[in-house]
Amino acid sequence: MSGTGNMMHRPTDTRSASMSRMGAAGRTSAVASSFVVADAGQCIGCKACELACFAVHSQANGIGASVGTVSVPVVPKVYVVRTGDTYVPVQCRHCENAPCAHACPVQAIRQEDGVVMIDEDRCIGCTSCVLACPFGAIEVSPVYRAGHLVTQSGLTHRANRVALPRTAASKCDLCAETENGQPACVDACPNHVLRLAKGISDSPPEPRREVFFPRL
Amino acid sequence: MSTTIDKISSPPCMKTTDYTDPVIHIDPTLCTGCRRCAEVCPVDAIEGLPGEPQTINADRCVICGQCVQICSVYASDWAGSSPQESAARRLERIQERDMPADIREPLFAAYYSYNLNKVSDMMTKPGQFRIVQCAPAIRVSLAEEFGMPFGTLTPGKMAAALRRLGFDRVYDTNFGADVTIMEEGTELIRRVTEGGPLPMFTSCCPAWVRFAEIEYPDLLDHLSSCKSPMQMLGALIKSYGAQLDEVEPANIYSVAIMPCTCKQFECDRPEMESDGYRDVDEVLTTRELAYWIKQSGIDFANLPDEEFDSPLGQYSGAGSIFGVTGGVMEAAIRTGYELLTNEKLPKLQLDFVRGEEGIRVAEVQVGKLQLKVAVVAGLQHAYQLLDRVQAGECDYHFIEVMGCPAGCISGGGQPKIMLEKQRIEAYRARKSSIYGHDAARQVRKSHENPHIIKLYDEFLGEPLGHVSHHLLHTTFQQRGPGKQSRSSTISIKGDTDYSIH
Repeated sequence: MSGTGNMMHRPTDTRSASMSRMGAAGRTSAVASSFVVADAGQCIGCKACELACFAVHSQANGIGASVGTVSVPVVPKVYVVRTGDTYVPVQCRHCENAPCAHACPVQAIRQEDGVVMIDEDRCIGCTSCVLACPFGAIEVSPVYRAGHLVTQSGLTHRANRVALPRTAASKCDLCAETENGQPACVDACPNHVLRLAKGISDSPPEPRREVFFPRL
Repeated sequence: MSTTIDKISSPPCMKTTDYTDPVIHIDPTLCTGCRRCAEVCPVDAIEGLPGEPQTINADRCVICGQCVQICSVYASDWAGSSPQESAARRLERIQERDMPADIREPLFAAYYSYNLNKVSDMMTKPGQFRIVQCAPAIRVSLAEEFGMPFGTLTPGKMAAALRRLGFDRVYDTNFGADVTIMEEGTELIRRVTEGGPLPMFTSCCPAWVRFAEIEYPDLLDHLSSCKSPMQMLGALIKSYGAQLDEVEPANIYSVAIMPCTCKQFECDRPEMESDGYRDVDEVLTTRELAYWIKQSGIDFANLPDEEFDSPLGQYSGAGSIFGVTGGVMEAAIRTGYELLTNEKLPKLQLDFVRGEEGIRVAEVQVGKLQLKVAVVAGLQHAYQLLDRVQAGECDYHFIEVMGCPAGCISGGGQPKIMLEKQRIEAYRARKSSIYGHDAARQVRKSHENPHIIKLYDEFLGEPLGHVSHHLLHTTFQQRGPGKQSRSSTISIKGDTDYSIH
């Protein structure tokens, strides 16, 4: 991950149409993104980041400071993953040329001020973005509002005719809606494993590319 | 709600006890081995390699529950299987833990034994007189479980909720705290004037008592022989209270709501009974009370404020500050000063024992006596002090020890905070709420509580008298070979002369 910082500071005058087809190494962006990065060797797997992420994103479900106020399943936007003896928190890299946004058939994913955001209301839960994400940072899960499961009108369980839950994609939004803008996971990590790698926005945004995924 | 009929075959009042339940558990199928629990364990009872599931050494564990408070590894409802399989696995875990079946909060790797199913089943048994008592630290934290701000003070709503849950009498451990001051204060004065083992330690905190029994059994005669406020009130409920209400002690089902995971262990100790009746039959934590209120569909936020029952629910400000570190000391000095000097205490707020440091020490001029006191918050700070007592180098008169870092307000059974950075904020708010509750009370000294005066006039006679000795005092037992080696870091506040004038 140490190379990404340099990449983000690349001068804008290197930008050209040919460079943009050279892959990640040669690509530059209109808005260099910030993202949270973790030091895999240092993570102890305590999931404090997951819990903090869930806590700050669940105010709409009436969740307060105490665990006792939680009435919906814990669905974070960062996932502590274990491989062999190593734990690492994985979350959205806010890719400059976000594959998930390209894959979304309904344009529910867009880049706003360098942050790749999912509009959960617009999302149809098709999992195209999940497949497109190279980091496994997106999860499609049932939607809860005001502490209750939102059901999808028109869809019922085959056996018991009960309405099926509405599902939507969710992923790290860099705590864009929290007060101080500091990602909660970075704050919560007891080992200081997570840090916010800051992108520098130094050129006007490019026009949005046409999605290549066929429209439904 | 699941039924646990098979577990309640014996009547509650004659329950026999073994120590097979270690109370604190770590679910090996969830634990990721981050060892944050081991960092907060004051006695190194959590064993295991990093990255591997941890185990608890039950012989070492003092059941303070700080590991349960810090654990952030939860069972994911989504990972690796279908929603149906996840739901089934969750239900399985809930049953394993004997938690209420409709619980909705996340399940963490570290947890404690739950008693709510047992208690709510017992509550439906006919012919029982159901009595409950609540610790001082519950009224400043329970509301957090219903989304209210940290430290919201709700004694009235708590009393109202407990009545709606079916209790015939809602009493208060704070009354027991006032009795403790009378007994413990008198014991201290007697030890100081007659040459008893000094320093004298408080014995209100069951985790501290267990710690002393395991790590420093040779110092047990330094502990006050007083039972904790919970046990004292329990004993009074089945004697004095039973007389007042004209009920048979055998028919009393006595429940205590505590911020502490070690209180169940304390109530189960064989010596905690009087005339063949358990002092307290069952203990629930703050979190369990919240589960129960939610399960019963009680709208906690909109409950009216109700009073505790008289006389065993009427308390002084001194009784209520038992919930914070330094509180027992402050309450004891308020009463001890006046009993020793026969003068009015000029200032009730004793700032020198208040604070957040692991150890606070002070010297207080009480009449002719230069009383040297110390307050310990968090058992990891106790080692160094106790080593000095063992070496005969500790010339304090009175030492308060509380197992948890900020006293009972930070107990293992208190609401669990999701964001670690809010923990200090929560503790401060709870503490200031407790001190505010004390400041707002008309009677702020235990010996001025009219119901305490009446209790001694009508029933106990005098502090340390025959009846008190029978009901309110206890003995301790060696539980381990003695101290393990552990280095402790220590920060001491104070060490200056403090004149109360």
